[in-house]
Amino acid sequence: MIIFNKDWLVNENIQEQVERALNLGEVTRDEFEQVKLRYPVGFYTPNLFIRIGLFLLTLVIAAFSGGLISLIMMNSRMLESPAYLFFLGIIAYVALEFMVREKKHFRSGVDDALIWTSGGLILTGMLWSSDSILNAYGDLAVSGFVFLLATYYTLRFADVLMAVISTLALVFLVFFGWQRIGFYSLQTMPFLIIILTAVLYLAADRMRQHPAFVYYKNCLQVVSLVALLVCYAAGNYFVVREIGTELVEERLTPDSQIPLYWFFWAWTFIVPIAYISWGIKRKDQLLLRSGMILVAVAAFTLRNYYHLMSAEALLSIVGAGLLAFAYGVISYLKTPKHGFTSAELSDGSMIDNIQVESLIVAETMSAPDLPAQGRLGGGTFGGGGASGDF
Amino acid sequence: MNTDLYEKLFEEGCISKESLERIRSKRQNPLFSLHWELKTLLYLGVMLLSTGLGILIYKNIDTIGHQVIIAAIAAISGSCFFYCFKHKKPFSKTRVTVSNAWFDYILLLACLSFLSFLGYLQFQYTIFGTAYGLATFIPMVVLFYVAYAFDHLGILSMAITNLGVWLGLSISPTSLLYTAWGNDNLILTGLFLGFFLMAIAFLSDRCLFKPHFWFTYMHFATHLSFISILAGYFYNYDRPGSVLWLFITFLAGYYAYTDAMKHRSFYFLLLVTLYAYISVSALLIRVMLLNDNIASFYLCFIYFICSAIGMIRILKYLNKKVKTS
Repeated sequence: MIIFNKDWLVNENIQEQVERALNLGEVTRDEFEQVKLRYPVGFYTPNLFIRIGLFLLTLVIAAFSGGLISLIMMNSRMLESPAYLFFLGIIAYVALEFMVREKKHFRSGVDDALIWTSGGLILTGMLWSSDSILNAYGDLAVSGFVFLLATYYTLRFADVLMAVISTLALVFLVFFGWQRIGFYSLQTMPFLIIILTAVLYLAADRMRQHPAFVYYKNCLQVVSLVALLVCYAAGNYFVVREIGTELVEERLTPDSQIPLYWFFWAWTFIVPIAYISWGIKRKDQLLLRSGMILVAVAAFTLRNYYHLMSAEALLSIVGAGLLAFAYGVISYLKTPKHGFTSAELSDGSMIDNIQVESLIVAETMSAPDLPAQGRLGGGTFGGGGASGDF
Repeated sequence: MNTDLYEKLFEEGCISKESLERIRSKRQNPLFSLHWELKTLLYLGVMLLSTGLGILIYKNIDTIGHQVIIAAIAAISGSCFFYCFKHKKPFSKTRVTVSNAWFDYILLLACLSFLSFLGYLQFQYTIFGTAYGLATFIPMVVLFYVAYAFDHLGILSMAITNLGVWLGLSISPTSLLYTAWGNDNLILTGLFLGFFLMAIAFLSDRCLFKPHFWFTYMHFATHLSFISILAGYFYNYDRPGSVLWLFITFLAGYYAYTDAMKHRSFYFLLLVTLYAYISVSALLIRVMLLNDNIASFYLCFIYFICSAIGMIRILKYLNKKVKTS
């Protein structure tokens, strides 16, 4: 099914692991070069920035080639039928297969761009040509089409973003399907989605460790991430309440409660903590980081319904609390304990020495706003905002 | 974690006995790094605290409580600076690494609360009078000083942004694109600042005075100069001399290209190639559309297809050249 040379994919995985060991100082550069010679990879995979450039340029080529073909055929009636989009999509797909098979492109930007172009065109063509199905089944049909297409691309090209789309489309497919045929669908929906994503997570997590799925390692990783996040969202109080009221088309007053509200409130707070503790126990970065994000989501959910204090006071207190917590952990881990350390283990994560951190600081940390009359004309102090009126 | 892969590599003679032993003993007690998680928490903490305090001041500006808040901000800034100066490592012309992330973020908090404090003083008591230039000049000087004294890239970026503000430009990474470039003065200021930063980047690197600041300076310089040049061209589109703007692109582009090659930076190579491509295309499309007929329209489409293919070849060539150099 997968289009790439399987030996090279396996070798690529080996090189990646040894390179990590190199960054950790476990093997020497000579040894890494030895491994590279023994396990060669013939793919064309350029540096990340070149990949971005190739991606953009391929999109330019695709757009203008499509435009040129349309210009030539402008006078025929071809352009009015969905078959035309299929036709363009298939040209893009053939180009994609050619580039990958003959030119050995692998995550080079060219293949990424062609995956998106061909997928988008074929999907639009499909939806356009199936008007009647769409009218009858609407959302269900769209999520079904997207799921099939994205799954195909995931299996064939092991593309990470397509794996994300395919997972989300599956969730929507089950959601809309159950809504149509389900038994007490509104009440059972959160539990169904929770079970579905929990199973997905466990399956993807198992498969990730298994050598048979080594080609799809990255895809399985993002599938587990998406499953974890959706599993939480399905039981989050805000999501359940808002989607529930949307579906029954009934406005809840702020005081009224949804059924089983205690369960959803408990879910909102317990799951992030469970992810974090599970992540610490298993030393699993994915669980730990999702848990950290979800703690913030839980806090926003609470704040949406209960206003304990003003936003700015809350910001200051939470900020100070986070700093104190981080300080506590850093001093606790000054010498590594229980296999945890606060130090950076390798510097391999720096991409092309681009200092991402400093750019984020420049973008978000410009000094707080000054009141308008404080300076000429207004605008903001430091960072973003208009400054033409200086 | 298992060591099967390394056992196999050892048997095949790719790695030495010592490396295998090292890996075995390391994998027996693997260390799990919380470095980035802690950094994120510190970043969020500093961001939330400084934003919260910043809003608190102005919400309470006419109440009695605001004196307390101001005092608190001054105290935070003062104590953070005190802490940082106490634990400061001696100045060096090269990179100074700090032992933990905590220090960097406390310094950031010190600077941000200092800026809030100055802003408040200016607002309430107009300490800098009506010399508005001064109100942005002083924070800028302080930021540059702190960036060099403590070797902090984040604060250096803030200082460069502030330099832009002082000159009347908003140059934080995303706001560059949304700036209304509709006036000659602004464009010339942008161009001047871009070239100025390029010169600083060159000097940092050449004189070995904080050479690792090169990237930050060059990042702002490249975007600022190329966007100013393109803005200058399109703003003066109908004037006769407008094409001259594009020739400046080639001068700046040539310099940025040699600089990127010297530092083997894919990031700057990509930037130079794309900006140069946009400039050349702008010029050629203009020439091609001189005759207003369908043929020239076709010609434009064909131009984009062929030129993009050409650009892909160039990028691939550059990728190879940097890798082998």
